[in-house]
Amino acid sequence: MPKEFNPQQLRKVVERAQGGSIEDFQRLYESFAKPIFNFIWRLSGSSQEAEDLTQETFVKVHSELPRLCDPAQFKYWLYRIARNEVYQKLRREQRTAMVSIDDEDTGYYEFLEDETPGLNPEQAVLSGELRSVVQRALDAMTPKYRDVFVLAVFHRFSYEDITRIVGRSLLSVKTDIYRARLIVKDHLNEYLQRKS
Amino acid sequence: MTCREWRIQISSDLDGALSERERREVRLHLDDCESCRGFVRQQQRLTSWLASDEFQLEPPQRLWAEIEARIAPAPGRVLRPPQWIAARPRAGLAAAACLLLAIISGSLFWNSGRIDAEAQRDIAAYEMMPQVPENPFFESLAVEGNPFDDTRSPQ
Repeated sequence: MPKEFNPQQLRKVVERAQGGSIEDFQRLYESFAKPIFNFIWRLSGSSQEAEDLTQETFVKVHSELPRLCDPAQFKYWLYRIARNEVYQKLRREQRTAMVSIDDEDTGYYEFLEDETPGLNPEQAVLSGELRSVVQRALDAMTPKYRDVFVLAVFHRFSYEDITRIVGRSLLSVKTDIYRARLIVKDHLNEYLQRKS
Repeated sequence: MTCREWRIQISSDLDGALSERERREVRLHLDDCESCRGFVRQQQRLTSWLASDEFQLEPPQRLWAEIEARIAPAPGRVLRPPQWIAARPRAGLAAAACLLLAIISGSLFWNSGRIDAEAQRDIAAYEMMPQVPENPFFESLAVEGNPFDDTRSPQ
């Protein structure tokens, strides 16, 4: 189970990692790897890209860490780097607005097959389909909506923290999360109407 | 306010982003608006479902090993100094020299009652030592002149 740090512990671990301690950098990795991996996966829509970009993110964090002035800001800074890595990659691939799921991607849904043991086969299929609908809704959003929705709803960041990560106003964050919610709702509605 | 504007507030409320006063206002509106109550029920279910473990992936176990292979210093490579030393090399050197002096002074004090000829030879040996330790790390800082001179302008 990865350790969650309180703010004082986090500050100390970050400072030691800034001083070159690989052990402390590993502690940071263990604490943040899963949320960052999931954050990147939700933004990119591909588990393979999430793996590559998580690696790039932590390598970059390691090289830039000595320049981080305030260790208390580490978490926001880390998410900002992860987000930048995703959009730099998407820009390189000229896939800015619409990110489609790679058909060859054998990532997320297969991982989840065994994670719904309480469901009968019919429910499991429905659950898998619903997840796929949500992913399509995320893919259909502009990055502007997707960023803030993922941070608020999947990662439960406060709106103030989200403004620090995405560098936008509170009002813009609030409105974009609402719009993203409507997009997810519309995709689910459409799917459920087709099913009935 | 229109229902659309209320729903932006409701969306924020679901994420815990409203003040107590704003929440009271939302509750008052909900008392009168069945349509917005429907929106709340729908979004509550959606939000709790999306935040559940069903939407969590585990990163592959091998990922750290791959990262470590890229960030670990190669054998024989000199580690980068911490930022505060890199930014103020003279301060780093001064700190090292102060530490050395503290060790010498502490040793003198500790042994003051029983200094014998052997101890005096040790002290003399300390005094003959260069103030800057012969260490590639400190050499790499390339500090010239007297590190104790605070009157010099910083680099």
